[in-house]
Amino acid sequence: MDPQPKAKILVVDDSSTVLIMEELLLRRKYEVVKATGGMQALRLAAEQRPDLILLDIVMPDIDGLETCRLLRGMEATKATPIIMVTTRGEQKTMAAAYANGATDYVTKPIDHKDLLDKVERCLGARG
Amino acid sequence: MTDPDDHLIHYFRQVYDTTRKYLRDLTEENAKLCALIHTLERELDRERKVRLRIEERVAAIDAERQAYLKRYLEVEAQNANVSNLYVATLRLHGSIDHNDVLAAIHEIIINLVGCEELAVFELPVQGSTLFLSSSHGIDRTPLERVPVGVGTIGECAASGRTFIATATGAPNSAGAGPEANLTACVPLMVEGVVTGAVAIFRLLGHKPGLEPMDHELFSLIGSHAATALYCTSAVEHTGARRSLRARAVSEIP
Repeated sequence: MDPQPKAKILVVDDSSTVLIMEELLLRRKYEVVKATGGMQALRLAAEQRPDLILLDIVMPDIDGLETCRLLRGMEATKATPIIMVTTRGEQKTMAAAYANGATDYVTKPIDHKDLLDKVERCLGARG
Repeated sequence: MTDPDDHLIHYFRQVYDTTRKYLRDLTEENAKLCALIHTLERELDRERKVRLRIEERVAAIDAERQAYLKRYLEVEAQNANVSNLYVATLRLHGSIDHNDVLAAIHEIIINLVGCEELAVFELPVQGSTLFLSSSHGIDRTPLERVPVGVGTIGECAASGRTFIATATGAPNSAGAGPEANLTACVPLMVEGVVTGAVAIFRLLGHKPGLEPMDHELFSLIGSHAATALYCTSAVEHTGARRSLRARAVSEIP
């Protein structure tokens, strides 16, 4: 019997530190695809069709909120869970994230257990 | 013809015999029941002891489960800490470019410590003034040059000891002006010599205070960031990086 294929997660962050950390955290259970900006994320999302996207808010090209809105407009990712990863933990930012189509959020510095729990919950909900 | 008295006597005898037999049967039955009660009491006592042993075993298993859960959480936290330290080390030593190392320090403090207000100072050999090499989220002007021994940051560089603000969120007792929001200051040290300092100001709003992991990161920054900055400066001064690039280009087929 073939083993169940790993769920694919697209992680988007302009910080190599965060990308390495998220990859370390997720790669045991998931296939990880990395993007360092919003534009690359949109391209990879269309090509790779990830099961979940971890999206940084503060990025130099297109910010995470706009990227999230654009991802929601794409056929390939209109229903893909998107978890925002941000240093901006305040209500206003989170409300903007949800308004742009985010499914959930985690704040930096990332609590590993919190992130894994939310990833599992989102992927579980997706069925 | 029988005498009615004989008949009565016979009747009473019969009743007497029947009652005696009945009494004997009852006595025997009572003895059996007493024996049964005794057996059941012994059985019950044995069952109580078994139940007590099972309850004790369940309690022991539950305590063991709790201990394993606690240990699991500790290992998980330790694992998270180790991976954070690994990532930080990887980033600090992943380049021979001075600016890349500075960027790595910023990323570690922003993303792993949780602070978007920071300054990285370097101290020239034999120098007595810290120079601001890079910063994030602060007004650079008042911190461009900090004399060693002056203020909290200068004192940190003079003593080689990490400064941590005493109470979470409370104004730093030593600092005023540009140092008012200082949360920590980590001296950068190479072979026991101070080569700079990293000042960490206000933590992110949702982070209530420094955690044990942050102290580990400060310790790592104090030694590894210092070495990485020192080495990249040396590499830039010697021109070794240009030689390396030239070699890389020459090896392209």
